[in-house]
Amino acid sequence: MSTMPAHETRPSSEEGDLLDMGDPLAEGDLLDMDTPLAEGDLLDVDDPYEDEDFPPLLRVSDLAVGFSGGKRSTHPLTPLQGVNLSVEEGSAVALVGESGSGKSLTASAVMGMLPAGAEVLRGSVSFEGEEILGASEKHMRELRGSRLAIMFQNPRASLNPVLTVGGQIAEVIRVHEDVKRKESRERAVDLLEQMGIPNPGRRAKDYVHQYSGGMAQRAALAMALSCRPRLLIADEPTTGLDATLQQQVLELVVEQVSERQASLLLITHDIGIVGRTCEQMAVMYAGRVMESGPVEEVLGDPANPYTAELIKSYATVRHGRMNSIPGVVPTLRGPLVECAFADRCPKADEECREGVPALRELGGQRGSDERKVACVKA
Amino acid sequence: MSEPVLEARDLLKDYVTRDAKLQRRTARAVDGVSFQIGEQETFGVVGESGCGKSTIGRVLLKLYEATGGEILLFGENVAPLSERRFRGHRRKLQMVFQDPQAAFDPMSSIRSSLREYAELRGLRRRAEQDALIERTVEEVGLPPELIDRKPSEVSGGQLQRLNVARCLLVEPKVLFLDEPTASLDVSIRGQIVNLLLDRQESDHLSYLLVSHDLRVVYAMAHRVAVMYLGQFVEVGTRDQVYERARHPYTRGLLDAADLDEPRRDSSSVRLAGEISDEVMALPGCRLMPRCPFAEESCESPQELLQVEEGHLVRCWKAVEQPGDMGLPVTLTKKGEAREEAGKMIVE
Amino acid sequence: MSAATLLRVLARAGGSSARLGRRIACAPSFLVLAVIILVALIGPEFVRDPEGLNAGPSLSPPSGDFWFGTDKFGFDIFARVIHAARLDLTVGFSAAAIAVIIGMPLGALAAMRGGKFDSLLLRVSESLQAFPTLLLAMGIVAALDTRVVALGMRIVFLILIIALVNIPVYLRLTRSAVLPIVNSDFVLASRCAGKRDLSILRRRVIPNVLQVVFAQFSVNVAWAIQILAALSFIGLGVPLPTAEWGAMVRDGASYTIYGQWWVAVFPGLAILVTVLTLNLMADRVRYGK
Ligand SMILES: Nc1ncnc2c1ncn2[C@@H]1O[C@H](COP(=O)(O)OP(=O)(O)OP(=O)(O)O)[C@@H](O)[C@H]1O
Ligand SMILES: Nc1ncnc2c1ncn2[C@@H]1O[C@H](COP(=O)(O)OP(=O)(O)OP(=O)(O)O)[C@@H](O)[C@H]1O
Ligand code: SF4
Ligand code: SF4
Ligand SMILES: [Mg+2]
Ligand SMILES: [Mg+2]
Repeated sequence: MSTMPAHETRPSSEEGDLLDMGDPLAEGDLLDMDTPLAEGDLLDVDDPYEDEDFPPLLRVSDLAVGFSGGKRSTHPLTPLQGVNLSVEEGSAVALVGESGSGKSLTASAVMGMLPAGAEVLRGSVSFEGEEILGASEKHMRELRGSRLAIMFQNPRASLNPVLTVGGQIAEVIRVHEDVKRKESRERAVDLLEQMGIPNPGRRAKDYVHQYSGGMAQRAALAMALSCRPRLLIADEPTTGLDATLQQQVLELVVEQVSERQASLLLITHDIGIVGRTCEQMAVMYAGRVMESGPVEEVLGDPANPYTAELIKSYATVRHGRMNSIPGVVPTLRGPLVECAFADRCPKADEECREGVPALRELGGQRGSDERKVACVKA
Repeated sequence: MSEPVLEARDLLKDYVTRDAKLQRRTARAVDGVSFQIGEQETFGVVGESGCGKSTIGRVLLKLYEATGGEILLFGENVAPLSERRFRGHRRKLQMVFQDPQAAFDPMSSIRSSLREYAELRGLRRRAEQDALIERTVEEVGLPPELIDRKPSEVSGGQLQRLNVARCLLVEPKVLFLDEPTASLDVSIRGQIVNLLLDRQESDHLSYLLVSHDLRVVYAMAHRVAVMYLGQFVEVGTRDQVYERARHPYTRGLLDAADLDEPRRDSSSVRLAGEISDEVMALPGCRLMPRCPFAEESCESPQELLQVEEGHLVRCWKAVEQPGDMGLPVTLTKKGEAREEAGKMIVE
Repeated sequence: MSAATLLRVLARAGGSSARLGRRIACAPSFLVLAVIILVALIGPEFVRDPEGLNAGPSLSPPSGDFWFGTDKFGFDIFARVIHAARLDLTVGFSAAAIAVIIGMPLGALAAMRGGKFDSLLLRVSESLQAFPTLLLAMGIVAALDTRVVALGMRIVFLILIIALVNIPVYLRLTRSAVLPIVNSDFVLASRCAGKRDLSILRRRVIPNVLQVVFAQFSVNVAWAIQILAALSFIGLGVPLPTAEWGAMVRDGASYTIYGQWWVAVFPGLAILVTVLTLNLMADRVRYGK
């Protein structure tokens, strides 16, 4: 289990009241939970960040989340099996993987918005050097409103249908800053204009349902950025848009985030958009990160067979048949005992079934020391 | 091309909707679309969400009544037929739905949904129906016991195979594939595409493939149409459209989709702005508000013009002044060389 | 398609209602409701005469003899609560049943037909719904002079009024439940298989909306009981000495401040438990919980 990062290294620790928050993980109730995952053999699997002095903006280490599934269920779901991920100050990181691999769940754990029935089994999430897993709801609400923002897949779900778009953005601004109603309205219109919404003055008075898909997405982005977050998590922000609009919205997200010197965690299952938007990426499968590192290196020379297969199935086939990965993403019930990809992996053999491969540094000549991989064959 | 299996001539479809105050509004979703599909041919239609792709297919299957135009199925115009008279043709023409989860009744077993198709095939007895169903399900690579489950208990990829199997039960001649892979992961997209390619070969099927996934269309289609706001803006063979695209919208789409390596060279076209309903009312080119090449002449109505054999474009400029659009030498309608490779002027 | 064929179709939706039935039968709220209904059906045979004078001392607190105590006439409140169950449930169920029998087929037709028929029905039901229900009921009932109109007729009128204001509820509910299903992919798939409207309605549409309609039915029974109680409470429903929960609460309310709480509390509890049970059941049916 990770050591509590030193408070002195926290980039922005002006607010003293945050300092005396106890280590939430020390409260025991999360640790001695009677779950199969808490068994020792898994606990020592990985903590690649043991001896780091300067923690990144966001660091998720060994995060495991399960669903108890009610009294009668004999098969609790364990969709996250020890996720390791970090987002540096000012960088853009992509989290990719097939549907059901646990990308959204990781995001909700970071936001402190896990769905009902979900339990954190182990691990830690630190933001700005401070442990936030298990922090009070009040504290998380403060964080979410200010330095941590999320943009959901469906923009219409994150905007209130009965309030005007401009009105609700202005309200967020008023909550965070001590400004007059009129000024907040002007700021909202400004923000919409920055997002490239034509005629922002008039459009601010419209409701979401009067916006087209691409515009609603922009409005959602304006909403997410209105509180000046340090980290923006964008969960599949462009699915459902056609390629030309998708490109416009993605470029806008990246541009606005970097203009504000914020960081971006972009969740997507489309590796095609990763290269254009992010510097770092992490590939997720069955609740674990299979590989992470700089985008060019991971896409150019994948070290994990899963990454390679994913890239292959994405590639355009010039003539004839398309590639695919045989089989499906497994539904996880209980802790993994072998590499989760072993059933579908072309390189799998006995060695892969001996244990869960830890996420370790790749080493060798292949790429920088930022590259990590979880595969015994790499 | 041999005798077309399916042909659409000047297809029109208006949707009549009522707003909150019950006022009638008509929206033209398909605006004069014509094409032919030959035996064992795949005709692909690409275009953004809401441009009317699905509507074309649904009108062809007479799920919605066409507002105008002709639908020729093996040479017979089926557009004016009543639902009862058309029922006899249903076996020839079937459709694979976009969202496999939505295409099966959530309250009944998959078997019950498949039986309806076995009945259309003319099988009356349960035992005969079940034998056919089980055989077909095995043919698409699934264990037959799956069919006694509810749709929610089967994975998306498996359900999409069952969706295909359901159509195959009636031995159709033409399949309308409405975004057959859109709701699937990229990793299993290939499984469905390959299944469809195999069946096309073995059963001599013709496909009308609708998708916004340019990769899937590339892998499957022989000829491709690009659709924008209810109209085809470019039609041609796959290579004509993918390698020698002329219409600015097609080029913007191809660029944004990044088929190969990211292309950021001078020939790329950036489309700016939103799609709005207002442009539907304009007489001229509907891409005008977003097109970087737009000029005054674009305000007059645009026709589909031929630029080479079988390659049609709805943009006067791409035909007459391709050099100004950063396109290489081209032939005009009359077939004569017009211009040297133009200087790339975009971006 | 006529309403008659639609009714036939509804009757034939047997398979799905059986499944729904099994599901409801597992719910604890159903057991409670079953007990309430049983009490309403046969309970009155086993208790004292609710209007039997001099049954006991006036206003005596709950005791071994009079479980719920007595009211000012010495009527046995326990007996009256049981007898009132029959009246209240009859009004509730019949009003909701009439509303569902008329409203559901109309709603399904509106959704499937669309066009003028649909908008006409919508407008009519909108204007019906625009009336404040309680006021409407109050007005009509107040107009029925107690001296001229017999008690039985009054109750029939009450049932009809409550049913009338509920028809639009079912119409709109069924319409909005059927609409997405009629346009859903799986219904289109059935149409691709050449299935006729009637067969689609029976095999695909009705089974998928039954659940919502049934949940609404349960809510509506509860609602009808509340309306009856409210009308009686303001003196417009069932007059004393007929046993009816709302009227009994009204009667007892004035004694509560003098410490004779039992007169109002027990009929009040009866309303509470019945309404709560019906609503819980509706939730169970709707969300499968
Ligand atoms: N509320 C929930 N109850 C039970 N299981 C859940 C719940 N939410 C998510 N899961 C399970 O957790 C796993 C991961 O889900 P998650 O939504 O994080 O996937 P994802 O990677 O975001 O996929 P997608 O690309 O489809 O959004 C899935 O197997 C899912 O079934
Ligand atoms: N039943 C309907 N009633 C009214 N309008 C409709 C209906 N179906 C579709 N439309 C409208 O017609 C237009 C074309 O819709 P269509 O479904 O054909 O688009 P599409 O190209 O298939 O898009 P997608 O990629 O999102 O499936 C859209 O603007 C849509 O809003
Ligand atoms: S550990 Fe083995 S099974 Fe897992 S990805 Fe590596 S080679 Fe494949
Ligand atoms: S006609 Fe004009 S506006 Fe339309 S695509 Fe061609 S150049 Fe652009
Ligand atoms: Mg997700
Ligand atoms: Mg569509």
